[in-house]
Amino acid sequence: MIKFENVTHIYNMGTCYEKKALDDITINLAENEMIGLIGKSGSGKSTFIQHFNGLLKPTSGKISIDAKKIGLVFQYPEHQIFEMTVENEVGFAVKDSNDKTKKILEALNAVGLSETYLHKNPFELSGGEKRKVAIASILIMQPEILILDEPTVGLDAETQKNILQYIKKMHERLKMTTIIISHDMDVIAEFTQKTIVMDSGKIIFYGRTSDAFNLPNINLPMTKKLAKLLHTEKIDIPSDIISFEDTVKFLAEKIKEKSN
Amino acid sequence: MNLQFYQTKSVIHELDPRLKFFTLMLISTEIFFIKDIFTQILILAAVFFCIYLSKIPLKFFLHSIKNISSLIILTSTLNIFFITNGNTVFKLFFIHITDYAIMLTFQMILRMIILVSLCALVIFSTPTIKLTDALVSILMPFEKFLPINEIAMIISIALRFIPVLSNEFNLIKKAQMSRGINFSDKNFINRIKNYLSLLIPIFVLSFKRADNLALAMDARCYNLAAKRNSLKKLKFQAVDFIAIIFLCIFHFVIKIILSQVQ
Ligand SMILES: Nc1ncnc2c1ncn2[C@@H]1O[C@H](COP(=O)(O)OP(=O)(O)OP(=O)(O)O)[C@@H](O)[C@H]1O
Ligand SMILES: [Mg+2]
Repeated sequence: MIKFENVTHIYNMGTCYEKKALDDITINLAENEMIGLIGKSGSGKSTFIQHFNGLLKPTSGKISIDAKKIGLVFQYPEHQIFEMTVENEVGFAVKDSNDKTKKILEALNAVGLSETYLHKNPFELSGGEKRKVAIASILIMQPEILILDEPTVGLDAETQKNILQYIKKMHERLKMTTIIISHDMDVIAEFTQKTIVMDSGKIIFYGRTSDAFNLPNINLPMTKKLAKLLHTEKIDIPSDIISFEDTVKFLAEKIKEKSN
Repeated sequence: MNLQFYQTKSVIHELDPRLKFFTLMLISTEIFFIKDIFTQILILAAVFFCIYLSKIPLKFFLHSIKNISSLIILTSTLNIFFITNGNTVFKLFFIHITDYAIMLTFQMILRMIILVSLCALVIFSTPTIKLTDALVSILMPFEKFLPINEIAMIISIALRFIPVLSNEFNLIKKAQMSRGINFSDKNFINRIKNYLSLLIPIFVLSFKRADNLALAMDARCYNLAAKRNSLKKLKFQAVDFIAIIFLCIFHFVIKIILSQVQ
């Protein structure tokens, strides 16, 4: 159960810098799905997700979540790196035990880093690898809900895809509820089943990702842009086909039909 | 918490920062010599009149005063209980409070409020660049002995990056807390170790930022040794002269009141 009831958050309450960042949010999130969270800069996305693990407390309203471990990966998580080896960095918040190294390895593998990384200095890794180490240091807590605040911002296209694919794989394996904040509609279309849309502190949409793209004033992923162009050429792609792969499959079918 | 410039158009905002600086210095020394309570109230009234002129919402100032309220409470309690001159007005076991103590405490509270609101007024009504300019031009006579330009540069960079650093600090603290690092661990050694997880990233980021800033300054041919002047020279305007006249009249009035008292 992940339930928000009339949650409002006001920053710097009672001072001159008062700012209402969440405005009467009520939502009942589906579990075990990949959920996208989109909205303009300053719409309150980061504020919203910090309520999941109690970093921020609602000014008013009620939150009920029955998961115990909630992993939150902040924007630019590599900024939090401070240990001299990848092993210590990933394992810092874990109690010493016999299977500690095993746990660390599992977490590293989940983001596609091999054993050889254990004794490397995290400060000397590439940007993408650093980010993976930082994500692994959250995964090691074995979170039941995983929340990622723009996990691929500032990385090259290939690394972006690579990281997201590892997250997707893990999701398919463990089925934990995963929330991804992103400004990239292609990422949302490709990787999420449901989407939350926020605007000035309010949730203006929560439902299937394919339906989110029918909202007015929303940026479209490449696949939807393609569908729009094809529509003018009298080829209609059903609106629930939004991932790249599905679009290609659908068009291939069409072409085969034609040539037969 | 947030000492920041408040953007609006007002007489106080237009005043020359050097004049504001000077007035701040003047009044804050004076209030420690003036022992007459009526004069102090008059000065407080004048400060609040200036606040009114500045068009900055009063709650900003009340907030600044609230920030030092614990200091005020602490010193007043000490004052009230430990000053024993004067006539006793209240006595209970070993506690005895005199009228003189009450009076002194009240005066001290007034002084603190005047000091804080005046400082806040100068900071809220002056952009940091102008503050640094004013500081430089006040220090100018000591150019022979002091590296003034360097001081100015350091101060302006420091002022510019305080909010950035504090933001960063909060963010990293939250990030570390989310991965289970406990900053209020009962074990003292653990707690220190956990705080390292905050300090190291902050240092790393700050050095990176310093590096980038240095590069950017180099790229624009910044040269420490060069003789510097500014695009907008500080110059006294009509408002400043009027303000000086008011300041003089005000002091004249205070002088008269004080001489009557004695
Ligand atoms: N620590 C803070 N103190 C005061 N106001 C804040 C703080 N953090 C955020 N805000 C304000 O709350 C609002 C929502 O901010 P938030 O960071 O949640 O937006 P966001 O949707 O995550 O934006 P972005 O896409 O840029 O990350 C903004 O107007 C912001 O200025
Ligand atoms: Mg954000």
